[in-house]
Amino acid sequence: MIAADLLRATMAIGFSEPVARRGLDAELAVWDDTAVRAQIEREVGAREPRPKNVLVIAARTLPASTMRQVYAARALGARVIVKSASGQEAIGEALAHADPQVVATPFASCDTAALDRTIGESDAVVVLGGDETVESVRARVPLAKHFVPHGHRASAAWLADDAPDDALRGLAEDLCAWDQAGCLAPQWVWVEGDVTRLMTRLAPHVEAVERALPMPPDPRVVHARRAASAIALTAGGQVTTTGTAMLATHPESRARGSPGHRFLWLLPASLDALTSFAPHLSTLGALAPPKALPRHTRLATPGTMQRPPLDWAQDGLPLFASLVRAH
Amino acid sequence: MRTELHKRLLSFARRPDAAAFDALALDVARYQVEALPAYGRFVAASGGVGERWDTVPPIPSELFAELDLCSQPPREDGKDRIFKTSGTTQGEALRGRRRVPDISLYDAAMAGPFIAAVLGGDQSPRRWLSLVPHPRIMPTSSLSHMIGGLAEALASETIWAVDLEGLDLGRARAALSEGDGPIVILATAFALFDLLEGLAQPPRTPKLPAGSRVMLTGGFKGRTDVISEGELLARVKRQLGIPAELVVPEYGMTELSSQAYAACVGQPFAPMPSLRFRIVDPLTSVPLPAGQEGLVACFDLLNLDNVSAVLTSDLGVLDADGRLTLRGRLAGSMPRGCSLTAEELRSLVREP
Repeated sequence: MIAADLLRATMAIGFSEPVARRGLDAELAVWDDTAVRAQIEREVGAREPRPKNVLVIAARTLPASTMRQVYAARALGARVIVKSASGQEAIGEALAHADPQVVATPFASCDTAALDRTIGESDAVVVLGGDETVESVRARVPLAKHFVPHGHRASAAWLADDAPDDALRGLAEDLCAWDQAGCLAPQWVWVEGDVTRLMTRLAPHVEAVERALPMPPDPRVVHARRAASAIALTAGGQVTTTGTAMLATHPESRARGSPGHRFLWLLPASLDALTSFAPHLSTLGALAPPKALPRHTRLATPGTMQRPPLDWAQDGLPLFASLVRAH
Repeated sequence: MRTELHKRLLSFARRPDAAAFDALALDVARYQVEALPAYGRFVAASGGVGERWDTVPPIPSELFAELDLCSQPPREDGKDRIFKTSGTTQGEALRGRRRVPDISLYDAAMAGPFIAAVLGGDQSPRRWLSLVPHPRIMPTSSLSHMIGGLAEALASETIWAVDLEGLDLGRARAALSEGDGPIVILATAFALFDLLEGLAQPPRTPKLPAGSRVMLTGGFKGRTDVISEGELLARVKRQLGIPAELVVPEYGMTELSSQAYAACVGQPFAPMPSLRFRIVDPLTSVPLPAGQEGLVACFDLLNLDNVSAVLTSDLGVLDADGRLTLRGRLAGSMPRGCSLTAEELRSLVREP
C-alpha cells in the first residue's frame, strides 16, 4: 500500500494521481520478501561485509529510482541517508517517515561540507543523476568506499509495423507511465517497415491508456512539443496527437531526443543507429532482440519497460551486489 | 523572384509603407516556401500560407538550433556570416544560428528606427560608449553587428569597453569622464549593471552632459535577483545623470533582422515598419486579441533568405496599435526523471 505522504510528494512533482499511483504501485510490487531474499542470495550470498550506512543521492529523479536504491540498501540491513533533489525533499521525507532507518538529509547541492559529512557517515554512496553530478560526487568519495554511479540514459523501442496489438498496447503504457519521465521510458521507436503505419496503429492504443492515466495540460509542454513537431514536419515527417500524447515520424534513424511528457518519435529501424547510441541506451522495448543488442542494455517486452525486475543490473551494476562488492 | 523581392524590400526599408506590408509579406512567405524546402514542408503540413501576413505559419525559434534555415547555398569559402544566440550551458550544439549571406536588407533598415527611437531623431554625431563587444571580437553576434554598423554611420567616436574578458572599467570610466557633449551608451542590462557597480567605486565619475542617452537591450533573462528594472533606472539617474525617459529599450533577436524600440522602460515596444507582432495562445496556437497574454509571434519582412514568420518563447501582450509589452518567457518544462533530455541527446548524437 502506498503511503499517503509518498503519494502526495510524487504528485507534487507534477504527476496526476492515477499516474503517481500506477508508478508507485509498480515499484512496490517488485519488493516481495521472498523474491528479495532469493535475489540477495543470488547476488551476494554470504559475502561480507555488508554496508552499515548507505548514502543515496537522488538528483531530480523519479521516486521509483530513489525507492529502489533505498529499499535495496535496507534489504541488506543498512541504514540509509537520502539526499533528495532540490524541490523534491518531500520524497526523502516520505521514505524516512515510513522507516526509522531511513534518514532524509536535505542540503543544497553546492553545500560540499554537508556532502562530505554525509559521505563520511556512509560505507557506500549511490548517485542518481547527470554526468556532472555523478562526477562531482565521485571526486569526493574516498576510494575505500563503494561508489555506485547511475548516470542519465535514455530508452527506446524496436517494433515491426505489424507488431501485435498487445505490443502496441504495452508500448502505449510504457509511454504514459510516469508521463514518459525517467530513463526507462521510450523516447523513440525504431520501426521495421512502414513507420507511418505503426504510428496510425499505435495512436488508438495511446488514447485508450491515457483515459486511465491523465496528464495535466501545461503550456510549457505544449510549446516544447510544438518545436519537436516542427522538426518532424520540416523533415517531411508526420505528426498525430491524442488527448495527451504526440506521435511524430522522422525519416532519419538516428536517436532523437523527445521533449518528454508523452512525445514519441517513430524512426526507421537501423542497426547502425542502435549501435551508435548503445553507450547511452538503458532499455530497449522489443518482442525479440535485434541482431546487435548492445551489452548492458536491458531488453524488455513492451509494457514492462518502466517495470524493471529486481535482477536488472542498471548500467551493468547488480542492485545488491554493487553495494557489497569486495574492495 | 528573389532579385525582384529583394528590390521591393530594399525600397520598403528606405520608404516604409504600412499599406504595402501585407502583400509584401505574402510574397516573401510564398518565396520562402519555394526556396526553403524544409519550411515549405512545414507550411504545407500546417495548412498553407493563408491570405494575410498573420496567417503564415510561424516556425518555432528553437528550430534555428536544429536546422540551417537559409535558402541560399553556403559560400564555398565557408565564410558565411552566421549569427548565433548567446551560449548556453549545454554547449555549442544547442545555440540557435542564422546564416545571413546577404546583410544588405538588415543594414538598410536599421538606422532610421534607431535614430528615431534612441537618438530622439537627432542625427548629429556624438560620442558612443558601447558595452557590447566590437563585431570583430564577436562576429557571430547580431547585436554587435548592428551596433558596429550604426556606430560607423552615426557616431563621432565609439569607445568599445567590453571584450571577451568582460567590462574594461578603466576604458569606460575614461570615456564617460572625457570629452564634452552628450554621450550615447549602448548596453545589455547586465553590462550596464556591471558598469554601475564599477562606477560606484572611487574615483567618482561626473554626471554625463544633458542629452546623454542609453539604449538598453537584453533584459535580465531570469536573473532578476541581481537588480530590478526600477533599481537599474534609479542608479542610471543617480550615477550617470541620465533620466529614465532617455533610457530606450530595444527588442531584437538573433533569429530576426528587424528590431523594436520602446519610448522608455515600461512602455510597449513599437516594431519597426518591417516587423509585426501577433500573440497566440500557448496551448492552442489560436491568435489572441489585443490585451490578452500569450506567446509572441513575429513576421519580419527582412528575413528574406531565412524564415520571416517566427514563433518565440517570449510571453507578451499587444495593444491596439500592435505594440508589444513583454511578460517574460515560457520557461522550459521542468525535467522529471533521470532520462537524458532532448538537449543532452542532441549534443551526444551528431549528424552523420
